[in-house]
Amino acid sequence: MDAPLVRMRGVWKRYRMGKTEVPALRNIDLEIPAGEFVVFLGPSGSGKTTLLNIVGGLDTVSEGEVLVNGRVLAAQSEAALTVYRRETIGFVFQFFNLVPTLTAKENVELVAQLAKSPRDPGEVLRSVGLAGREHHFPSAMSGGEQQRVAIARALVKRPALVLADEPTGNLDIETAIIVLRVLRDAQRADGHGVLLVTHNQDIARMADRVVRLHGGSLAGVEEVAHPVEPEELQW
Amino acid sequence: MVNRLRTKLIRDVRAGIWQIVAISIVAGLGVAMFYGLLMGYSNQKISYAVSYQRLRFADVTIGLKRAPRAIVQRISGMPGVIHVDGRLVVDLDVEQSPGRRGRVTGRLVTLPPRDQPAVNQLLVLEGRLPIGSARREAALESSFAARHKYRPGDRIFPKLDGQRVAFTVTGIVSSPEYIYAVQSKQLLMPTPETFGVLFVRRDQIESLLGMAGSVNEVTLVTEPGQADRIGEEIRRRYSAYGSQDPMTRAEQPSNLLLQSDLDGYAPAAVLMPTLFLGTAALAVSLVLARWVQAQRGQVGFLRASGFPPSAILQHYLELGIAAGAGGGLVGVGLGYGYGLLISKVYADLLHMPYQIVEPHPELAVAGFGLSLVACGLGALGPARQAAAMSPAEAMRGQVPSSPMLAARIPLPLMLALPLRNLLRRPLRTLGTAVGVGASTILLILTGSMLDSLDASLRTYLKEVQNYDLLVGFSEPPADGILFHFRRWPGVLRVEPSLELPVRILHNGRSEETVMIGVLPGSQLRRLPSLDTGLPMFPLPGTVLFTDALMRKLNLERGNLLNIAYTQNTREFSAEANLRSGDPVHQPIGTPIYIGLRDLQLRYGVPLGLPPRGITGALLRVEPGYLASVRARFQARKDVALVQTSDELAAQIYELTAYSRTFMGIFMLFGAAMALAVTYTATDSILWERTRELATLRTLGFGMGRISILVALENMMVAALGAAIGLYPGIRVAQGLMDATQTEGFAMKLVVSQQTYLMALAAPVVLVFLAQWPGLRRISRLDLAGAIRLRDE
Repeated sequence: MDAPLVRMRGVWKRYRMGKTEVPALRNIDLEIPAGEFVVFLGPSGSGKTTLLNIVGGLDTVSEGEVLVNGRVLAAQSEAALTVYRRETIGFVFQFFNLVPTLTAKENVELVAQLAKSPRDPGEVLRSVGLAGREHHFPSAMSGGEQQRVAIARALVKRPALVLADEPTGNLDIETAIIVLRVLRDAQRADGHGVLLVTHNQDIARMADRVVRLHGGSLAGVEEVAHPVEPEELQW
Repeated sequence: MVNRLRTKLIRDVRAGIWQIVAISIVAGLGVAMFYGLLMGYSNQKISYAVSYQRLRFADVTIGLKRAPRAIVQRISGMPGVIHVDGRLVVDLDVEQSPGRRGRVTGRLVTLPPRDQPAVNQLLVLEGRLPIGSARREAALESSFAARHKYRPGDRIFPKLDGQRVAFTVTGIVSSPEYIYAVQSKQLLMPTPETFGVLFVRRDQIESLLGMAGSVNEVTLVTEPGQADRIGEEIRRRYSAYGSQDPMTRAEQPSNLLLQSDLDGYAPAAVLMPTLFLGTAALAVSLVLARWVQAQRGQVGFLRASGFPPSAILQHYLELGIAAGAGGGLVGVGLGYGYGLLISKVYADLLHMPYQIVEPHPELAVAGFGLSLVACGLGALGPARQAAAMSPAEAMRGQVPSSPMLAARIPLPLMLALPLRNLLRRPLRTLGTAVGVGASTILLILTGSMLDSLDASLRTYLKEVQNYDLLVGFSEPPADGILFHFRRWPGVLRVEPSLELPVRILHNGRSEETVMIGVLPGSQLRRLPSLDTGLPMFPLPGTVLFTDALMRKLNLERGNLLNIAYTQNTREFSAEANLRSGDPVHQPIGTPIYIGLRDLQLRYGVPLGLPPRGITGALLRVEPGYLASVRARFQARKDVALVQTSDELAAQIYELTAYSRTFMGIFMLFGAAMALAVTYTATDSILWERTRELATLRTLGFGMGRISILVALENMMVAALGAAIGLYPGIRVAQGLMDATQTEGFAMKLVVSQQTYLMALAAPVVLVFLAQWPGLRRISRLDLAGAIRLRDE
């Protein structure tokens, strides 16, 4: 195996709740190769979003080491983490987090202007199936369309890794499948990795690799020999 | 590529345009105050300077008993003297033609035989200056001419040596000495109804006055900083001619009033803009804090996408600055109009020889900058908060603190809901209340200033000067003359009055004023104690001062003072060492009071007055007889002045009209600010709670019930704000009043019940108006869409 894109060694994350410390992650050791579609699977409170946030440079570890693309995240300053997120990561959120006062295309352009060599926002929007919807505001779009704008926004800066936190959690199954298809196609076309957080067991069937979490601990990592296509999913 | 954060900024501004407009209005009012007041101040200052410079206003004036005109030539050779003029200045009775007030006090001021005088030149507003010839001509000072409707060609009749002499009015003029046409420093109030200045050629008048070849006053323009030295030198050198203490510009009565006008600007020019801009900053802070909370998800996404904290900081700062820029533009426009209005009101009040009105762009720029700074500072807190948000935390949304305390209070649901909402975010509630409180401060401030002005005038006109008619005699008679007046029909009471100009010396400080003899048990002139308000009477050997004069002279009760008649001569002079008593509350003027008998014995008799000599009388007259009694006095040759209390009141109201205009505008601005602040506060609350209120509607709450819920919440904030603003309002009003006190006009702070009611009720009432647009929006909401919203 080539050098992994993400490497974690002895990662702990503890939150302080008053006088007590609550561990959110316990001693995680994990390696994720580049270019894979990886699903973090686990019930609510299992630590999957915390793990995603740490990989995305949104949160820091309490103990242990995280390397992404050979870069040690724990040692990064806030400014360096900002640059890291700008250059390496694309985020997709459950509630889309679009800027409601910007059109679909403007939302994508907002992020494109951060990148050194961004893709064309219009082309990215077309690639996620939103041709003709570029000039619509989020309030005039369906949930699925909004999530596709959010994906386009993540893809436009050519990230090495797309992090998607429950991207279908707010969508019906038909729309969710469209969104998953977009993510899968983009991953295959551009070769970037996707880390997708979900509690939906079925979605794990389309992953190249599934990372199971339970109670903040790693419950298992499995490679999926024959990932299914999104359209084959059912829940 | 277009900067999309900028696009977001523009769209955010557009979406919250009415909140931004409201903030801009508050900031704009602050800028308008700043620009308008300072523009008015600067224009007045320049107008004085230009008028003084072009008309060669005297740096120093020295009165003489009588001196040969040759001294003018000698004085002109003194080092440091630039221009000098010698003239005759005489106060005398002036009769007017029928249709005008019968008799007034006139001041004849001589001009050289030709041309303008070297000092205190005149600006001819209408007609021309008198021509030096055998014709008797006079130019009239403009405020007197305007009051009595004189035009060139009219006639006026000064009484010279008891003889009525006709003079033809050739022109109406403005003089730098009489911009405020004040008779003396002792009577620091323009009285155009009863006092006028007539400028006549020297050769037409000096022999009639028996002063041929003589002068009794020299006026000088000196090198800068030389006036005191030269004045003192002249006083010393010409003491044989009865030279009096030099009067510098700073002591000149008209200039004294002008300076006091200018001084009155400073506190308002600082306080008012500070209050408005501070409130604007607070409003920006409140609105932006809510926006940042509502946009937490967006901030989180922006930060997660790689926007640095500085970009987020800048983004929200720009929102504040946008409001500031709006405020700056509104303020500069409004301020320009306000400045012009101030200049116009002032120009109408006075007859300034040269009225300069300039826009002062540097002040406009400074005002604009202040608005940017104030709103930028207001935005700084929320912007920093947004920039410091951890992206992961921001996207999780905020869990509001639970209202533990409020939950324990047993209340009906309709009260519990709004109360818990307020207690859920106590700091924000407090911030909103403070914004409303700022309006209360302003309403209390302006209301109490008007209350205090009215109360001061009432005190002066109904308590201190409690007469219907004041009469001044040409020559001081004995008080026996009063028995005659008591028999006149309609006269209810007559009291003697003796007033003498004096100079007070205390610890090296000197002050000229008028000393009034008070009749024991007087009903027509009362001296209310500053402390108790009860009438006082000076004990023998004691003099009562107004509190303003006591402060000025640094006097305390029981101090020993030297008080001398100002026009002491070798033949007749009077001075005494007397003790200061308790302070008198007298809002207008700074006379000092002594027992009538004390004044007659210690001063009147040494000065050659009859043993029970008086200079005037105070009368109480039946209302139906006032006109006839007044006419009878005017017809008497021994009476120089007749003034009803209504005429005095009219003069004072005219003098204070300027202050009232100021206060009225402040009050309007205050009401506008109150509306704008309550609008931003209530509308922000409604935006923030759109989803919650929409949910209530889907549950079956009607708009009426929702309106009550919202109104209750907003009114609780308004009531809290009004309560918060009350005490600071009174303190600020007291501070402003202390800062604007002059020795001639010293008010006591009065806050009427109406003002309290207005200051407390106005924010609550305004809340009803302010919440209307937000409630209308909620009534028209797409409920299905609104309840799906996560961030808004």
